Amino acid sequence: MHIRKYDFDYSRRHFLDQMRRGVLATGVLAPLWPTIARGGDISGVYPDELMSIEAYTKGKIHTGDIIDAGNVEHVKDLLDPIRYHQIAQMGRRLEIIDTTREAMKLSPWEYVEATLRNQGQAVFDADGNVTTREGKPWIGGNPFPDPKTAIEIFAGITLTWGRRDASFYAIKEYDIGPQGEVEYLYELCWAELAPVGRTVLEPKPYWPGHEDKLRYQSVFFVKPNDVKGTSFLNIWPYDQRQFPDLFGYIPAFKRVRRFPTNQRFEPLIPGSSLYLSDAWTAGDPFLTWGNYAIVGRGPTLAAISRNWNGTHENWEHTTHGGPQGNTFWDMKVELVPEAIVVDAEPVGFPKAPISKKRVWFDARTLAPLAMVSFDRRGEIFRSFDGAGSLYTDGANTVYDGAHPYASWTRVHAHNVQTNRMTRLEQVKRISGGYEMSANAPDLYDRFLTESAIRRLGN
Amino acid sequence: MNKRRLLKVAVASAVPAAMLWTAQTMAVDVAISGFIREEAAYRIGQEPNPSLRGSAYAKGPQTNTVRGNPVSEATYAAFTGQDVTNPASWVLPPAQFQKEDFNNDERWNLMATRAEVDFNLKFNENWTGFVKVRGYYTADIIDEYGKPNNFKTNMTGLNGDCGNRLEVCDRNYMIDLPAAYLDYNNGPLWVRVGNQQIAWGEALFFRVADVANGLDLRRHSFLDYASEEYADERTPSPAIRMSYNLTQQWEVETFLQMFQPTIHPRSGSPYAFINSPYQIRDDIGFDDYEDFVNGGIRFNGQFDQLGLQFFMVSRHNPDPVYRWGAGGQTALDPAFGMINGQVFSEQVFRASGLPGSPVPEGGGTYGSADWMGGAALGGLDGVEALNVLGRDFPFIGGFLTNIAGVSAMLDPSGQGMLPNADIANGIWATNVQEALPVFDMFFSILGDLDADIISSYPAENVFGAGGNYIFYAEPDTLLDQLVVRFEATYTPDRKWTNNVARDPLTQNEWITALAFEKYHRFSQNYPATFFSLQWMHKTASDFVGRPLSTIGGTVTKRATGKPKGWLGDGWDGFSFAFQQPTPDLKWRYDFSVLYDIFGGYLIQPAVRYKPSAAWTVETYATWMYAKNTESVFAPIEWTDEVGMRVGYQF
Repeated sequence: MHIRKYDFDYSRRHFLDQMRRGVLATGVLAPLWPTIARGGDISGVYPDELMSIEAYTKGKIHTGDIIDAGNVEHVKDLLDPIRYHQIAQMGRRLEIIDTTREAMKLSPWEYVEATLRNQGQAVFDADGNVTTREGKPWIGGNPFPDPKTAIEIFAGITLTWGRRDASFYAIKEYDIGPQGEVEYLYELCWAELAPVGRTVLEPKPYWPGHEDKLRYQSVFFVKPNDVKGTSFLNIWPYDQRQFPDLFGYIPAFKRVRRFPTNQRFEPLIPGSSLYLSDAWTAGDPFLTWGNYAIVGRGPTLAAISRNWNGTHENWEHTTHGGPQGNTFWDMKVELVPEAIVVDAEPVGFPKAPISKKRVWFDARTLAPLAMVSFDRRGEIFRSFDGAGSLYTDGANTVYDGAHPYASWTRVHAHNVQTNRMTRLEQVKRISGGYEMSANAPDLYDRFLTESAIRRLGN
Repeated sequence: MNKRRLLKVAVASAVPAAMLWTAQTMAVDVAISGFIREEAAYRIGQEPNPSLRGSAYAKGPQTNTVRGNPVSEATYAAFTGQDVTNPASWVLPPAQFQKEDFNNDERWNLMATRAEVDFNLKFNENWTGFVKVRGYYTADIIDEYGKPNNFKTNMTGLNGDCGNRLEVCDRNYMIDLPAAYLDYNNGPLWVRVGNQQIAWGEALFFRVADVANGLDLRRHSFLDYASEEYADERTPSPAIRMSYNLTQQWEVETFLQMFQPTIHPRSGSPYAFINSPYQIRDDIGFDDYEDFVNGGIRFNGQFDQLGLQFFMVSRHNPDPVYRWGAGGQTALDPAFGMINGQVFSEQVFRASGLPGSPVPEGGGTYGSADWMGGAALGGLDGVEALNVLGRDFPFIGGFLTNIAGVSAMLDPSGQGMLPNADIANGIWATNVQEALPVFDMFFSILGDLDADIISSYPAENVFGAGGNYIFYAEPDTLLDQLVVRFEATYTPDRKWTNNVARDPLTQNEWITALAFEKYHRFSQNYPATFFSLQWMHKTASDFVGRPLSTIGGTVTKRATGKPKGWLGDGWDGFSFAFQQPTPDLKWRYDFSVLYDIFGGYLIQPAVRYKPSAAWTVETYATWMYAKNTESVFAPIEWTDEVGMRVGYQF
């Protein structure tokens, strides 16, 4: 006879009790991060109800089931309000898969290794920036893997978005109108390079001469014709009180010009519902936001593994739902045993259209799972949710070196007030022969200088 | 095609040819995109273009100043072989020149179809290529003595009759390759080889550091959508351009580019701004310069909020300096015989409508008012232009000397028509009162006149520097993230058209621009509004390059030169623009103003609508005002129009 040590509501009471006491200690049955450090398997950290959708729903939902309008009420508590609305009202569906137990399958390998190696060395300096105990820039991995405060969580995601020294994403963007038509289709590239906190690229952990920078990042469009060549280069100071330097190549001007960088709450291109501020739910320097607060703990549903479509030659994905059957990505979600819900307010942007954002983080990885933002009246405004995966399906594997490539695969950005949806997917290659790459040593010269965006601009 | 031209075309075509060959013989990623667009502009102003149809500046009866003046009437009699002692017998010219009005009041300024197809090629991680094919067709919307020539320039091109090296054209279409180049990138080195545009500097519309390329104004002049700046106009040319990131802060960039001049709208085309009796002979002018190479070097630096650039360009100025060309009308050589060692055909003018003239009778300049008015619009001193003719063409100099001498003999006071002439120094007329009867003497004898003007492109060195700085203040206040840009160039011994003289005007010139730009959110519901305020100052010429010393003339007044600018000496202009997109960026509202301190402005509101990925609709209205001929807008003040563009991209 199996004797349950903890009753069904134990985890719920545990999270509520910690919230009431203002305590954040990840894990329920055992501390999360030490368990991960011992071997990466989180079995034993959470009770069954947090590791099995069957247990959580008391058998109403099973692995392999499709969550749709007919059964979404059984998992309503596991969804943010916009995803619930999308399923209940707009025909969105989610396929349930079992919970991933190996933490090393949820983030780039070297990132997790660095997190383990460097844990305990991060502090906030007097200005609020993350440094080592010696006062130097961060040295790689998540600086606060076992967070105690909300700002520690946001510091971690802001310091390294893609969790890799150099990332180059080939992206297709589909902008869908309220009637379900794909009104705009863009192809773009996104490049980001870490000059500090490097774990793979030499020299590491710092690129000499660039220690005062946190990130070089560029985005450039290759399709359609009227935006082709439009390129923006962001150079992020390490100091998170400062805005990035922004340089842009606008084809009409035929040259690189410097731009102000405070317009982060509007789309870069017509039809898009995606803002610069949305990147990884932490698109702005974290000290330009404030009033960080943990407002929730508990399980959630999220697409964090087995969400790569290696069967398509270009890794493209299928869709469903909405008026034309193409509003939502097909996604596989699993029960994430512990999510930390954090609110933050744009205190450095008095005229931002949003009053706050609420972000769900996976407690195991501290990677963002979903975001909902609210307008100045406090009404729900926009949502942002995505899918991540190891790029392997058993038959096909994409490597980022010695290990399978772990990255995002798809994103939804939904403006619920205008009912416009932007879908992004990371693909193998886009027009012009631009291909995804990881930790490419020449990314800086190819995509992350003024002369580079001038060259890309045609 | 002669061998020399064949060789040049082959050189210019080398890069695109190599790309095509490579694309066929090795695995190359090729991405193709493009658009087709209808472009139209409708004139809403009352006046037609004064530079069309035989100098429509003057229409109807024009006073002949030969008449009513006994001395000039007697001189006319003498020059036409009449008995000067018997005034009663004189057959005098009409008291008024009848300037025919050819204006048809056509309202469409532009009715064109544009197609552009881009080929992006990727050979490997280091080598990429780009080819843009541009096709432009314009309907025959005006008719000036037959179908207008919009594009043929006889300068260069695959058939030698167009404006750019990689271009084929006819009078109503052109197809060219504004870009056809290979890029090589290896670490901090970037090399671009092939036909390309090069734009330097950060000031918009005010060309300070933007000195590498001239402008091709044959399509819609520079009157497109203002927010597109000169993207469609910069003339491409084969070049080697290299950039190297020296350090994290400093980049050095250099280029060598085959000389390619500015191309003005063709005479007789809708946006022509050179008086139609005067044929632009840049085909002759370009021949002397097409083998030259312009070069430049620039250092760019970035230090936190401060950006710096220093540059030097050694070039032949692509903006033409005009001089008179010999008319070549031999039909009248026997009638005039030899004067001062020259025959009639060796001087500048042609009698319109007679053999050897491309202009029909009535289509030339006719009368001193026509001459002075046209000169004033063109920024020329109509009186000094007379002396120029005398100095540069012995035939005319002799004629003027004869007028001075004969009229003095026929004047009881002994002064004659040119009483203050200093012939030894090449000065015949010293004021408008002296010049008008002399001009009218020409027109009375020859009828209406036309001529050629030949372009030249003198060498010069341009030294420049610039910077930008971003100011920070309380978030979302007016001064927060205000971008300030400054650029300056100094060109010693720059040359300008000197009343169409053979010897150009020479003067040192400073050009500066100060720009303030800001994105400011006025509400939480709308994206930021973009504002731009710029100030340009030029010490020796105005915005369009007219030397300040020869502007300001009128029909009855010779050019007085520059009035006082905002800072005292020089020309000053201000531009102000804003753009306001809607939250989804489907709509964008633009507004642009260019204000000329000498008394003129251009205003252009515009709306851009992008309902889907494929379609874009843009509409705009342009209004111009010129207080007088000192304003840069005087030659194009007529261009009040409403434009629309509808584009479909693929």
